[in-house]
Amino acid sequence: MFKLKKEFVLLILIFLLTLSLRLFFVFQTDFFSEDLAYFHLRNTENILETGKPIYFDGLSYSGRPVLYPPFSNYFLAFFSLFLPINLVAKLIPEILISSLVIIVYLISKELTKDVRASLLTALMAGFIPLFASKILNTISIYSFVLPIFFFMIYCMIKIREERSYLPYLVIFSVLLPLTHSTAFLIVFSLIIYFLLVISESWNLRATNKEAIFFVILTTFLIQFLIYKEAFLLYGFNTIWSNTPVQLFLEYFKDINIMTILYEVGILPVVFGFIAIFFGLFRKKRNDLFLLGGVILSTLLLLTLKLISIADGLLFLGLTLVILSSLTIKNFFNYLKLTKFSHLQKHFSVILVILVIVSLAIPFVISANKTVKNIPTEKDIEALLWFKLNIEEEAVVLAPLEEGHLISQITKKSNVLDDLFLLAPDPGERLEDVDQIYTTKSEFKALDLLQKYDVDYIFLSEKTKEKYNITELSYAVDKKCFRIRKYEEPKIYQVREC
Amino acid sequence: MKNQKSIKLENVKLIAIPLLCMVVLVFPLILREINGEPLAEDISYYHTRIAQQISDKLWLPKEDNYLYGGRMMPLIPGLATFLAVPNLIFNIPINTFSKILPILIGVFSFLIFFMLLQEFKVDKRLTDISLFLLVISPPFIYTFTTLNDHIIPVFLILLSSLLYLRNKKFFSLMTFLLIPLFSIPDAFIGLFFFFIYLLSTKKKLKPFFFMLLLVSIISLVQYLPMILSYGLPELLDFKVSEKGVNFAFQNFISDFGGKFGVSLFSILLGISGLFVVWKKKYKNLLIYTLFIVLIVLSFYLTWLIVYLNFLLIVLASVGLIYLMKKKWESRLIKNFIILIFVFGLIFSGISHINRISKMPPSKLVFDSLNNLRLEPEGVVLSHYSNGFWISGIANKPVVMDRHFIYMPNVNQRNRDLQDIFYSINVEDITKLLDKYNINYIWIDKEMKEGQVWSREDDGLLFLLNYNPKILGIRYRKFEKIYSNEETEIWRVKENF
Repeated sequence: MFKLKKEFVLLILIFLLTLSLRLFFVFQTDFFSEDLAYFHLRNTENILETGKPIYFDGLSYSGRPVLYPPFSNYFLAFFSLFLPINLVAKLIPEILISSLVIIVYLISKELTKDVRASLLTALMAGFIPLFASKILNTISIYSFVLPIFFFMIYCMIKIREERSYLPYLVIFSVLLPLTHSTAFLIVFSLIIYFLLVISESWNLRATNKEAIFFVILTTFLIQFLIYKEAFLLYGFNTIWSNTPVQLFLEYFKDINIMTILYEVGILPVVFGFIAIFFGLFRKKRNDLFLLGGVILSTLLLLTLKLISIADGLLFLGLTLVILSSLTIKNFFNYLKLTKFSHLQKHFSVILVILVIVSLAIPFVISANKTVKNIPTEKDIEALLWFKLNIEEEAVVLAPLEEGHLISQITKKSNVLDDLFLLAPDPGERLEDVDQIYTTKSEFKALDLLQKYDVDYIFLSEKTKEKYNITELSYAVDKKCFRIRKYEEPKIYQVREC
Repeated sequence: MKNQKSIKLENVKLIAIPLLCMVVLVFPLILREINGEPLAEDISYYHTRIAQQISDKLWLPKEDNYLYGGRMMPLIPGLATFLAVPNLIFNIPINTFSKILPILIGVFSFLIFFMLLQEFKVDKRLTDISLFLLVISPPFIYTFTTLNDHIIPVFLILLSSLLYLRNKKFFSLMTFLLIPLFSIPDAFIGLFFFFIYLLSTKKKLKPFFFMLLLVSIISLVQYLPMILSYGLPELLDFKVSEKGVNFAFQNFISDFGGKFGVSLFSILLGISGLFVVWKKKYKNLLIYTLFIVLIVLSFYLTWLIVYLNFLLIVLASVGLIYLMKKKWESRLIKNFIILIFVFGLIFSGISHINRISKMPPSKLVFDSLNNLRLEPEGVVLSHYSNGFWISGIANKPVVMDRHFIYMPNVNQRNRDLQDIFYSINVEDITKLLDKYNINYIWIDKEMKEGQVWSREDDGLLFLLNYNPKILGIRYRKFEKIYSNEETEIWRVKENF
């Protein structure tokens, strides 16, 4: 009879718990909580139809080239051969992000050699609040990036003793840059790790040096090949993905401790920083330096605003969670030496309760909020009506947050969406779209609408809330505007006048 | 048995690598012929036009009348003369010969480079890899698949070097003295290489100074009529922009779109090769100096990359051999890294062949210019980067082209062209059109997509499209006589 070790049973239970909770929220709605999710759906559909990702998107910005690493969409397309695409889009990203608990367990076990600390850390990893607000129900690219990235970190730790992990490292070194541009974070992490090791006059094994060289070279070359067109146009501004100035401050905010505490959770932050202090500055260890490299590179990139706050916190948070295992282990080791050594099990329970209170509850609250942030049934009905009743070549105006939704559901061109790289004048368009929704001047509105050849304006509830309007005040002129749909949300047709 | 095998392998290599060279160089031409695309690059049309003139008039032209106001020519336009000779003697059409010549020169240059490596007693493995890397290197492919100013000078510098090393100094000198007839800057670069060679081998510098004197005299004689008539050439007060180039380093790397650019993979291998040879740093100090000087100058004079490439591929070969010979802990990583570099280099080469096969002028541009050729005589206004096409294909004089040296009033011409392009003042434009007797305006897609204008109603485009009538003022009527997906031709008519 096959007997599973108790630790694996607990690990599987943690994985299933994390996955079930995520799927519970995700399947509460048929829709997605982020606009970019609709781009991923469309790209995956394109792969299924043509075998290739979208290189030139006729529906985005009324036509523009697209630069997006395609691996994640190919991965989803593969599963879509066997299952409905919407089910795959809901299921696969959640399975991948939930697998992080296993990866976190494995890394923690390598660091601490302590099952209890590793399991508790794995439990923490499943309920980081940021993972509910940013990665839940969004077909987020980080569902792919984070497991690959941290599995590579695990392989880097393991290859010191077992060369059997080298093939995995090689494979994922190729897959990570094909998944997202944040792959360069691993390059920085490894470089800082290497510098830390040299500064301690330690010798890295030849295998590790070769692995680091290979990862840096592959990442650099693949990213270069993917983004060279963007480099030609923008130079080093490619790093900021041509983000409009108006959004720059929002995306690349200054980092502060309150943000970290709120998004990552008090427990991982406190435990993680304690581990950094003892691990990096007191008992210096090679494997800790690797995680230290991740933390330092993330902080450096966040400070230099080379990575957005949301992206940076994902890596920072998870690394702090992993490092928490050291603090937990040290705590229990210390406890063994005290009078309270017989209360270890009780303290374990207390820690679980702390995880639930400080992480799981905020996770659930955040998840609830995220799944409510979806297009309404009425919006979708209106857009489906649009798809069936409006001419194919129409250009539809919607705010930035609904650009991909418009393209995916109506299959019509949008004026603006949040894929800014290689997009024509996103900053100018963002300003113009805001003006169109808020101006009281019909002349100004018409001038801007003609600039982008807009045929229809979509006015959803969210748009009304965003701009604090109830309708388009200038659209009363029947010569220039016609309301095609009177029920909410309204659709205005722009006429030639 | 082993000896027989190695001899057989050597024989195979002796045939295979030059054959590969020929295939690589012929391929872009074949692709262009299949797609019905004309000769690539604008400078080709300048040389073929001058060659045709030489062939027609059986004399070297003193003036280029295809620039409005005329432009004095060098005494012996080397490449054009070289193109005309087979036509005069064997009746080989200039157009055909201009397609074949770069390939032939490329193969010969490749063979001479091989012989040079043997003269320097370079190790067999390093030689084989260097030759392979040379053949697939983008600068080599571009240089010897398009008719440009550097094909003959590169060949002559290589040949002259080989003759010198084989102690045939007189023939070496004679060969070298031909270079200024083709390109004076290339001649001086060749002299610079000679200077470095003499210093590094601790030989006397007398030959260098002697050659410097001779080359300077020949260069002076080439441009003597112009110097006597105009003095020194006018310095440009505007920046020459290349189509599609946004950053300085873009030209340096072929993967970024640089025509002469080197492959990023060869740069990385070259850096590792440099680390290997650095061990003998003081022995090779002058080589490093040459390398660094060439790299720095290449950012300003892109064509120097052609010469830098020969040095770089040897270093890259050293780097590649080092990676292959080095003891790796992980065979898997070693194999992957070598595969990445090899495939990367091959990919860069193939990618460059593909780019050359799609280089302008396209068939649509060619058709448009052929149409313009059928129109009556008249001066054509367009961006200077189109000048050679217009004069070479449409056989019409232009206001400006890319040959700025000794172009009469080049800065004023540029200012006037800018005024015509960007003004919407009908009176001002009319005066300038009259000044240059402009009869046609030729506009291509690039001009409308940022090279000159960014919007459909910018400057002259506004006037062309809306043709305003201003009572009481003499105005020009613009009539569109031809258009296709990429170009427009407008006739400038006088109307009162």
